[in-house]
Amino acid sequence: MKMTKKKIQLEDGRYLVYFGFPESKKSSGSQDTDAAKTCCCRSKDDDKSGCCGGKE
Amino acid sequence: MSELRWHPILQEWVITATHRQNRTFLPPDDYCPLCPTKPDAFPTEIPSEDYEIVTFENKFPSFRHPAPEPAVEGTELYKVRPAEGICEVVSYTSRHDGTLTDCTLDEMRNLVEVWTDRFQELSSRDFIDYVLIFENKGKDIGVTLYHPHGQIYAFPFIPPKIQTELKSASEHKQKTGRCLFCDIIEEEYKDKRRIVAENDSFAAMVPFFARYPYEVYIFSKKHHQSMLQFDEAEKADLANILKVVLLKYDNMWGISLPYMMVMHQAPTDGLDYDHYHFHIEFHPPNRTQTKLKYLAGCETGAGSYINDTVAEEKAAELRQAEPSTVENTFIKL
Ligand SMILES: [Zn+2]
Ligand SMILES: [Zn+2]
Ligand SMILES: [Zn+2]
Repeated sequence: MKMTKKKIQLEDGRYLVYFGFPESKKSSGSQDTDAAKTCCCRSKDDDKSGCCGGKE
Repeated sequence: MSELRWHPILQEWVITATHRQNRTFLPPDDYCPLCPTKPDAFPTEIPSEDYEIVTFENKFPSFRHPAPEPAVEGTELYKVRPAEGICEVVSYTSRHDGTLTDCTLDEMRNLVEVWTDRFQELSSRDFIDYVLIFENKGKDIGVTLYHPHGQIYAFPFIPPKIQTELKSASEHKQKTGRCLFCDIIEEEYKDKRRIVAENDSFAAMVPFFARYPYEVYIFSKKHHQSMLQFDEAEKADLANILKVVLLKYDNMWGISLPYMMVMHQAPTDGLDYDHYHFHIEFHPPNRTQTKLKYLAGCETGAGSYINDTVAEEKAAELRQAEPSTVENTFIKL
């Protein structure tokens, strides 16, 4: 599993580490809205391309 | 000021950390030190505009490295030593609202990876004898920040509760040749009534000996001492069982259940702890939806717990709470 690590030093000398996961979908609520936007299953419009076929 | 003071009666170290008295207490919703720093806004603890998971040294730590010399002089009876160690905060997500329960399975899997990384890095320091990963959740537990986060304390000694567990495990091993925790898992599976959830790699239960009504232990099914021994499938299964237990907790009464979550792993002082066994303990303070269990005279004064419920009934309540499965998690009863 891929994980990126970036260690920085804060102004008062303490360290902080950012962890990143390039392979995992980031969900800040945007995952759902994106799916709603691109997938026809939710709008019941059967002819749109890019439909997930009910998988989402 | 912080130092370790020896408790000669209980034979344990007390961490005095007086600077913690003036730590941030329930800041208003619009300022959260764990939210990302937005452009032109007041800087938070995390200088980036966005992040996935962040760990950093606690601003008001109980342990420090390097630690200041103790402010008082010790005696033969009253020993003191520097509070040498490291305290980290783990911010689970950049989203302020919600809890660990609301993190996706993917995010929990990522968190397991971060925990493993921190355990490995902190345990490699020669002044660290024990790494405790934990979370206090909810105002009822005394949490001062609402942003979903946990903590890691890297101790310069093995904490008393772990010492007791190690002693029990070592005695059991000498007597039977077996692992105490493996035997507990086997005993629970023979009975089955107290199993709450399971998957291929982990079992969650309200153990026979529970001291809190809704106390849950998650054991690795394999005899592992720490997360460092988990393979990819076990890491995914750990995320999964955590998600199931957390959802059950919240769905039981439809409230976000407060809890203390502590991960018990082998000490990191370089000695052999093959007789120990990885587990996570959840200690929620609730007796009912509205009533809390207080550690009163008998518990605090005598160290003896009174649980006015039986584990078999509480386990059944948790087992019935949704969900029984999340993707690869299932109950085989
Ligand atoms: Zn926040
Ligand atoms: Zn074992
Ligand atoms: Zn334990």
